[in-house]
Order: sequence, then structure tokens, then C-alpha cells
Amino acid sequence: MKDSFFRSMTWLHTWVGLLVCWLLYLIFFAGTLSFFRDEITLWNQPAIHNVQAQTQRIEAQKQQIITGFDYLANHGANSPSWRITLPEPRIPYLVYGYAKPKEPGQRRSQFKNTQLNPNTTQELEPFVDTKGGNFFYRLHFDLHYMDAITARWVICFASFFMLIAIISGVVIHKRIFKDMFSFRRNKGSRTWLDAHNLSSVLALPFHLMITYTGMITLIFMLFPYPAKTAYDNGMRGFFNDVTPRNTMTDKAKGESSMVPIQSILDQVYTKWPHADITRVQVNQPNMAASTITVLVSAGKTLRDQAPRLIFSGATGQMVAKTDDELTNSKALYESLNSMHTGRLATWLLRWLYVLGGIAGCVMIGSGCIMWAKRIRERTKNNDKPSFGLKLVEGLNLTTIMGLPLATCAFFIANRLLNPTTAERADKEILAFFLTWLAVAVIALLKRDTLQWRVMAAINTVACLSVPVINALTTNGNIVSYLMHKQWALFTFDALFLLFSILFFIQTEKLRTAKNTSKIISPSQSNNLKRQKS
Amino acid sequence: MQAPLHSASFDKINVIALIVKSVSSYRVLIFLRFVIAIIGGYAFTSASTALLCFLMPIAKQDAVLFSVSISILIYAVVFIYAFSVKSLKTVWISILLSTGTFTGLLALLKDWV
Amino acid sequence: MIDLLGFSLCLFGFNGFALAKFNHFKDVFKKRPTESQSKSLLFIAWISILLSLVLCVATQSGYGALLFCGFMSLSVLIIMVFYNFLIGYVKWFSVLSALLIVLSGLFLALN
Repeated sequence: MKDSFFRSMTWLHTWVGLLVCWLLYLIFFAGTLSFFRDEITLWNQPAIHNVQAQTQRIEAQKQQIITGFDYLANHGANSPSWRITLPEPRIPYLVYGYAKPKEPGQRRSQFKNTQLNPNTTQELEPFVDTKGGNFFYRLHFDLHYMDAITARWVICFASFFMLIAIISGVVIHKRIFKDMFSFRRNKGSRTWLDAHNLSSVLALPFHLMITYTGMITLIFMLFPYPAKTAYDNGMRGFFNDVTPRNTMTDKAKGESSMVPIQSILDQVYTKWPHADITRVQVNQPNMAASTITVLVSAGKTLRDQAPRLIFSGATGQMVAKTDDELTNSKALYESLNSMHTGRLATWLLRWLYVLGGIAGCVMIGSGCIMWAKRIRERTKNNDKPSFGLKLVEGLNLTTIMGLPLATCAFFIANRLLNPTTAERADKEILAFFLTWLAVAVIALLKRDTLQWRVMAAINTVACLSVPVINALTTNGNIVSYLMHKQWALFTFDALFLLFSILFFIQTEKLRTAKNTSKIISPSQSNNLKRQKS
Repeated sequence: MQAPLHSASFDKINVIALIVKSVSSYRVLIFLRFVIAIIGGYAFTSASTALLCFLMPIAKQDAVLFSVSISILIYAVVFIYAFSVKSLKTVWISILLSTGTFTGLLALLKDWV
Repeated sequence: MIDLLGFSLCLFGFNGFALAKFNHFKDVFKKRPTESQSKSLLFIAWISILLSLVLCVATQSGYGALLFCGFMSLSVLIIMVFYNFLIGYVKWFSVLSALLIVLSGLFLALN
């Protein structure tokens, strides 16, 4: 469109960032937090703070399942669905659950869950109603307070523009190898550019991967056409083909007692010795059409669909299973999905994912700030700031300083809200959004360096208060976590202390920074220089 | 008072001149480029992946999975293409023509027409 | 331990890439590098990085590939910090990272 490909890509890189940068910052912010979804949920749920890691986790599973079947046969005999969720390294408790009758207007029936300490097989204290890490997880693709499908289309639109921004960014970064390690400090807009380039190049494989695969996770919403074209009954036909289902005994009528679960487990262990079972699901227990599904962990393999074996509950024979070997196409699709969710990642890779996510936030944030500075520089000193400039600066302040504060509010609300409050989980989330709104209102009124400094100071206090309030409201604190080797909880509190320090450093740096509203245009500074000489 | 005949035709020329001028204005051109890139690109990707999926000589589920996996790549390439070519007319015609061809082929193969 | 070896190879490699550049070499050694010095640094850097990649993928296939990309990101970050904020410590750091390769390699070989 311009004279050269390079010029076109330069233009495109700036403008695709236009509307979507603040939404992208939210996606990356919430998405990065989601990599610690289980740890956040753990922190939010004091009842499971002191559940110790099992020493023989996998070996204990067989007995846990057998006991679970006894329990559910007693308590959930009339329920259409049973679910046993085994402890995982990051989710340390055992759950026996059965479905309650579906209420009108519900898409899926609620489960009556009994949570147990797997070491003592005692029931845990009642859980508080909280979404925990799942709030951030859902936030980054379903947003909130809006229809999920609409939200996903908006997110995909923004993500696609992000992909274009990355590709065009690579094209226009001519000095990508020469400048890989450059970071010129205290040089104003050059420093911001270096921060932007560095954070982009540093985690370039990650950025490309996470953006592309993010859209792949929602690809059937975006492009249902291949499935609709290939299959006469469209998406349903496709899903039936790719999901293992019981087609042998599903039409059987009447009741039938189930085979002992031991015989099912024997078959599982014959096929997969030392299997790490994650869940056991029973559909229509004690009916002729009953099925028992045993799902195992995919471990470190790039698989999206959990490997599983499906048995008939009445006869005990295996009726369906996931593929042992994936075709190339299936492997491609599952790799892409599993790379995005990162469920396979153990602690080292998980932290590297988070590093990439933080780099993404820095990349997007520095992009937003550079854009605001550019508009500001073009505004002559005597002109009033344009609506566009006020919008960009306001949204920058709201997003970059407001999201951390809102996150602190979410966790403080978790600790301060009464456990018996109605709709407690929704109230925690409301605290998040009200705080964010408050920052937006401040930004609406004024958005100078002073407001940035004030927000940095508020964030310093807020981040510090999270571990402090935690210490005051629960039995543990950062020191006790360290002593008892409760690493997830310790890291959580420690990170908030670290961010408190970082925000304090930001407060101090902003003390000496030039006030943005007093930046003079180049022509004015030339005049001043001429006057002085 | 009735407008004189010669000024009526003058008004018509003015209106046409106005339309031509607005269409060639920078902002409208940029808008049209985004339209073809976003909507045209989406249509191209939908048609090409559907056709590809139908033509691939592998199992249906594999064909679907492969086509959707590369769909975003196709979309990105088309989008970049839409902003690389200088002539907006070329971009519009090439994308619409190719999408139409794919859709037509698909319609023939699937006995929709 | 195999992760440590993979990472230290990657870090060493990027250190080599940095030193192969005129400006960074000059910052550390106070003189410009000769053509052959730059070339040999580049060569060693590539060998180190490729070894890291092969090690990660050969031992952990797909997972290893993801790990390698993460190692690259962390390495670039650490190198950037040293060459822009701790230039005086680069010599020590280079020695240390070479030592890390040797130690983790030895540990693996002996177990």
C-alpha cells in the first residue's frame, strides 16, 4: 500500500495496535496469572493450605478409587453421574462427587462434592465460595459480565491483530540481531523503544506460539466450515468422530448392577502400568447403559485430549478409548492446543511460560506508552490535549496501573469477605472490577505523572497488604510457609512482596521524572535555546 | 421559484464529483483496505480451508483437524498480502475472485447447485 | 540436572553471540575484536546453542523443544542484564557459566 513492503509493514504495525492494545494487555495479564491457576485457587482456599503432598501419590490411587466407589454407591445411588477426582501435584486433595438433579435453566447439573485430605481420608473443612485462579483463566478468553461467545469473538479479533503486529514487527525490526542485547537507559523514548524491542525479541517464539495457539483453542468457533463441509451432520458429526464414546452398550435399557471397580482398574493397569489416573467418571451408574471412564494424565506429552479408557459398567468390557498413536493431523492440532494451555508444564517450564507472559505484558505496555508519548510530542505546547491523546493516556493509566490494583483487591476481598456471604465468589470478582473502575475514574479526571506516581504508591501499599492480611486472617504466613516447605503459598506471598518493592521503585523513579504536561515541542525548545545564547 | 434546467445538471455533476472525491480520500481507502483484509481474508480462509478439507485424501477428522490448524496461518498471509500490494483494486479483485472460485468449486463438488 | 546442562549451554552460547559483537566486546575487553576473534566466538556460540537444542529435544522431544525456547528467553534476559547493568562482572560470569556446563555435564556423566 505504501511504496515499499517495509513502509507498509511499519504503518500496519502501529495501526493494528490501535484499538486492541489495552484489551491485549488484559489478555496477557490474566493469561499469565492463569499459568498459576491452581496455585491461586490453593491460596484462595484456606481449607487446603495444610494438605501435605502425598509421598506415594500414584500408588494410593487404586485404593482411593475403590473407597470412592463405596462412598458414592452409598450416597449417590440415585444420581445419574459420579465423578472421582484424584489428587494431582498442584491440586492436592481428593474429591468424591455425584450430580444433583438438574435445575430448570441449568446447562449442566451441579455436583455435590466431598473434599478429602488424601493422607488422612478425612473430610476437609468446608470450602469457601471462590473462583480462585479460574477467575483469571476465564477472564482472559470469556471476559466478564458479557455473553461468552461475543467475548470470544472480540478476543479472537484482538489476538489476530496481535499476530499481525508480531509479524509486521519482525519484518520492520531490521537490526533484530544487532540490537538483541541493547538497552539504553535514561534516554527517554529510546529507552521505551529498547524495552519494547527487547521484550518482543526475548520471547519471540513464545509470543508467536501463544498468540497463534490461542486462536487455535477457539478455532471451531472461528472456522466451523471445514467440519460442516466434511460431515453431513456438521460439527456434531465431527465431534462424535474425534471423541471416544460408548456406541456398544449405550442403547441398552433397564437396570444392571455394575462390575466391581477392581476389575476395571486391572484392565487399566494391564494396558498402562503405573498409570497416573486423574479422574474416574461413571455415567448412569447401576443401569445397563452405564459407562465407567478412566482418564489418565498425559504427563509431558503434547496431548490436549486426556487419554482415557471407557468401559461398560454392566459388563466390564472396554467400549472406547483415545487413540494410542495420534495421526499427524491430530498430533498437530493437539500439540498446538497443549502448547497454549501449558498443562504439561512442570515447575521449570511453567516459570519460563510466565517469563514469556511477563515479557508480553512489557511488550504491549511499552507499545501503549510509546504511542501516548508520540501523540504528546506532536501536541504543540499551547494546544489543549486532543480527545485522542486523553483517551490513550487515560486508558494506559487505567490498564497498566489499574489491573495490578484490581488483582490485589480480588485477593484482599477473598480474605476479608465472610465465608457465609451469599454469592461470595461474585463479590470477590466485583471487588476486582470496582477497583479497576475507580482507577478509570481517576484517569478520566487527570492522567499526569503525578497520577502515575500516586497509583504506583497505592499499588505499593496494596501489594504489601496482601501477604499481611493473609497473615492476619489465616493460620499461616510467609515465614511459616517457608518453614513448612509450602512452596506454592510461600511463592505467592513472596511475589506480592516483590511487586510491592517494584512499585516502590517506580514511585521513587517517577519523583524525578519530567511532568508530561510540561513537555515542550521541539520548536519551542529551539526558541528557548536561541533566547539563551 | 423553479430551479433553472442548466443549474439542475450542474448539481448532478457536483454530486458525482463529490462521490468520486470521497471514495479516493485517504481515510476511505484505508477503511476499504481493512474491510478486504478482515472480511475478505476471513471469507478466503473459510472457503480455502473448507475446500482443502474436502479435497484432502485422508480421513475426514484428520482433514478437518489439519485444515483448522493452518487456517490462522492462511488468514495471516492474506491479511499481510492485502496491506503489501499498492493497488487496492488488485487486492479486492484477487481476494474476491479466488474466494468465489473456491466456493464455486466446493458448490460443484458437494452438489449444492 | 539435564535441564541445567541444557540451560547452561544455551546461556554460554548467547554470551558468545554478545561477545562476537563489536560494541559488547569493546565494553568488556576495552579493545575491538579482530575478525578471527569474532568469527571464532560466533562459531563456539552456535555449537553451544545447537548442543543445547539437541540435548533438550533428544531427551524430552516436544516438551524439550518448549523448554529450549524458554531457555533462550531466559538466556537473552540474563545476558542483557549483564551487558547493560553489570558490564564489570561479565568476565566472571562467562567463567562461571562455562564452569556450570562442565559441572552439570560431569554430574550427569557420573550418575
